[in-house]
Amino acid sequence: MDKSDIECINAYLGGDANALEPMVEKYKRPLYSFILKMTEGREDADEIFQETWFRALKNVHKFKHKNFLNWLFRIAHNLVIDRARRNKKNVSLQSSMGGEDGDHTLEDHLAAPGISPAEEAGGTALGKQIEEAVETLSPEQKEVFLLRMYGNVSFKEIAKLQKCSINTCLARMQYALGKLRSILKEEYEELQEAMP
Amino acid sequence: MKCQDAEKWILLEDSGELSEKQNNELAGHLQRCSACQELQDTLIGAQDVFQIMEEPSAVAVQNVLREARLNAPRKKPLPIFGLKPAIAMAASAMIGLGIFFSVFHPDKVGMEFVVTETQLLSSEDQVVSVMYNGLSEDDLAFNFLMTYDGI
Repeated sequence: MDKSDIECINAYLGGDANALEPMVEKYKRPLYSFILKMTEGREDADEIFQETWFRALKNVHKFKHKNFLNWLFRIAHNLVIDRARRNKKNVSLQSSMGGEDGDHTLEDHLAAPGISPAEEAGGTALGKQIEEAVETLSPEQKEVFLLRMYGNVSFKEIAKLQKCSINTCLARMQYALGKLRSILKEEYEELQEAMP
Repeated sequence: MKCQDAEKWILLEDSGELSEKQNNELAGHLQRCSACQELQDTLIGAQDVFQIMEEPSAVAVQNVLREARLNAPRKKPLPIFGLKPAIAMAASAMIGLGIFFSVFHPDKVGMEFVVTETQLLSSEDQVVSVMYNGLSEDDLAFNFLMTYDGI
């Protein structure tokens, strides 16, 4: 775990009420970006973001993981699933895991219609294409992809989180990249042509 | 190496989960295989796009920080773990000794406050008193004669 994280947590447990502020600041973007992509928009994402932290605060004395952000992702992952179940959808993230990677499950509806990173970056055509490609992924594929992109979470950790093998996670990521490949290929060719 | 394996290794290399030996093997394959090189480029491209991240609302962040302050454990007391019992034992011992002496040696309990006649005098008078203390009248007369200038 990051040394500064350990110091912050120890200071907080020692009674410094503001000690976790730098950690909230540090992790708010990757965590929120992940949640936003896995839920139904900013309002939901804000709620889950808060709930994730509330749970983390409640259990911070039990924290024994190597990586705090991974722990937050794990909590957020569970909350996203809980919310989907509460919304009376039929299929859970976990239950569709045995299915083919092209399967579309209930959580397909969880795709965030909010502003994408690419759109925020300037609303480029490439950004929109990538966004659309990500939205066509199954929830599991999308989750693997987003955890890698936003959190740099290892495949070993993702496998634990999704309760599957590393090979399954790798296959999901391969599938996601396959979707993006054709889009990015054009962009790369343009970039390479533009470069002297 | 097969491309199927190489694709997995590209992903594992990116997450830092590949051994050095495997890294070298993969590098060799990538030099020869344009399809796998393309997958690696796609991965790098995707990372560039997803570098820009969303931010939660200010209210959500404030709520989290407020909750953190409210749930913060109380400050720990000063670490006097070993001192507490020692202080208690010392106090008990002193009380015990007090009781012992008050029962068996009541004359030794308490302090005697003695003020001599000399101590009550002013400092100048004390010097004179010390000089002449214990001298007989003859001695005093002798002293007087020895110090008398005889005007």
